[in-house]
Amino acid sequence: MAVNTTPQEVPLERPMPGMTGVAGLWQRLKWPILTVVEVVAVLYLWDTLVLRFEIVNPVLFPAPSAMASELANLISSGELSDHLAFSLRNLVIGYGSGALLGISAGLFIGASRVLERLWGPIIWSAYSTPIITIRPLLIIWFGFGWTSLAFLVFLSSLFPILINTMAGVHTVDESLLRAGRVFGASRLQMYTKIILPYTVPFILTGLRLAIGAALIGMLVGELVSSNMGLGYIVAMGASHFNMSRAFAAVAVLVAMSLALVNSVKWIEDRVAPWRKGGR
Amino acid sequence: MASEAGNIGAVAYERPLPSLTPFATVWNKIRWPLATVAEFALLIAFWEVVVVQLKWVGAAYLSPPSAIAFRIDEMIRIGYLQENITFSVQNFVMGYIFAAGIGLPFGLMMGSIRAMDRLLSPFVWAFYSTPRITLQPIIVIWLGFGWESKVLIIFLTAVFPILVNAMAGVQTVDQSLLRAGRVFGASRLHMYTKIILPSTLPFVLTGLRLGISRGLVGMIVGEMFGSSLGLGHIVARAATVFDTTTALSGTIVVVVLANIAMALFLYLERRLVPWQKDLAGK
Repeated sequence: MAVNTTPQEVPLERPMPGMTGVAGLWQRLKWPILTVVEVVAVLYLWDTLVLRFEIVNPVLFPAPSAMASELANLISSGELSDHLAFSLRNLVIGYGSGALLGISAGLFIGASRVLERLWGPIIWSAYSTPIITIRPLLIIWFGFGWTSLAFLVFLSSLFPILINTMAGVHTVDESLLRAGRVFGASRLQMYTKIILPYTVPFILTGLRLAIGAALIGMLVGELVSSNMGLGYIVAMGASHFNMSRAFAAVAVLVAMSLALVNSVKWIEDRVAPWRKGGR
Repeated sequence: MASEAGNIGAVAYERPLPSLTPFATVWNKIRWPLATVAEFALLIAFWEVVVVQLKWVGAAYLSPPSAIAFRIDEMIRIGYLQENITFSVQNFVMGYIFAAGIGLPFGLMMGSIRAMDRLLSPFVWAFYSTPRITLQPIIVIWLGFGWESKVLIIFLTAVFPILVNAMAGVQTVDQSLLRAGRVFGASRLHMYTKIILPSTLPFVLTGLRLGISRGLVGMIVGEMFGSSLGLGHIVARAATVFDTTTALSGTIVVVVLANIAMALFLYLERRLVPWQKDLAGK
């Protein structure tokens, strides 16, 4: 938790001469454009290396063009939307319930010294453990269906949210609490007026970290004994030596995680704009 | 953190405690650790009673702690557990060392060289936001079922948190410190060793810690998916034949080992950067 307490810096550099029109636009778009150019160039180079010069075995390292056509196949046959819908549904159910329980339990436990001391060690040891180890046991408990998959997502996302919420409640400024007490705030008002607003940025950090954990939980569930979902496409594609299919699914996953992480970041900037930075 | 700054001028509103007898001091210090131990003991006893005496849950679904203890003992006696732990730990150490050895220098360079940051960032961020474990089936095809594929997945899962945090650390160095250094005529090397590295250290350590927890995930996934050795393999294999006791035993061994690794690292972190508070506020 790096807290940058430096007040607003005065820029050391001279201000740029006022740029107008094309120059200003170019200045702003320069790096995004170069990034796109770079990514395209790398993909093109990879494509030529595989297809033209056959430096690597295309069965093992498929060319980007092969992946793209496989991706088009997956989309047009409707397979992708089925598997994607399955994955997303489990993700939403698991993540939603993890957020619900994590935030409420975190507020509750974090505010009580005794509960914190008693449950803290258990929660921290669960947080330090790779939760996905429990995947095989979940199959015994819940079977192969979506329940065990959603439950793994739930467990994976629960602990980052819970721990960050607890930490947030801790850091509430003591003097604010005292002021609240002096002015006769009820227990409920202490929660809604002081503790909750102070904790929101921490909860958001927890929610953002939990996205990554939830995706891991979702994928592990689907990689190990499932017959639906994006992870299943990757596992099946690889085991049938259809690597372009596996890579196409990976590309969908990359897009999906980037979209999810960035949307949570967007929400974070809106809801708690005073707390910038710290990715 | 923020609360401390707010407290500086505040008069403590609790009355000072009367001075304590030696016994009370010791008691105060060990009270909570003792409570924690007692709590775990109670939980285990409760679990045992629920499964064995009350039979609320079938033993096929949740083996009692006594059965798990017997199984762990048995696995140790025939050397099964040691063999698998050695495999897991060896791979983990190797993958993690590669991850730190590549992640740290690249992170530091990307943090300080703007062009490098711009060039590599798109790929690093894409990788960082994606769960790398999804590559495991592909890696198995590339490298086979042996230890090589496990080391690669551990490396891939651990390297990005390390790299990204080192990068963020360099980028958040206090500008006024850099300016002060420049004013006092520090050489480029001095700027690195005296200003940038010390203020980057907490970030580097955070990255290394995240690298451990992510690397452990990679290790377990690598062993669950196409492996014939390792702790993850013990759990996965046992579950496919509905041997709940062995699966739970393996899981508990993983929990214990992961917590030991994390505790060791937190201890190290507290020694190296005592001014930095972790989330637990310890």
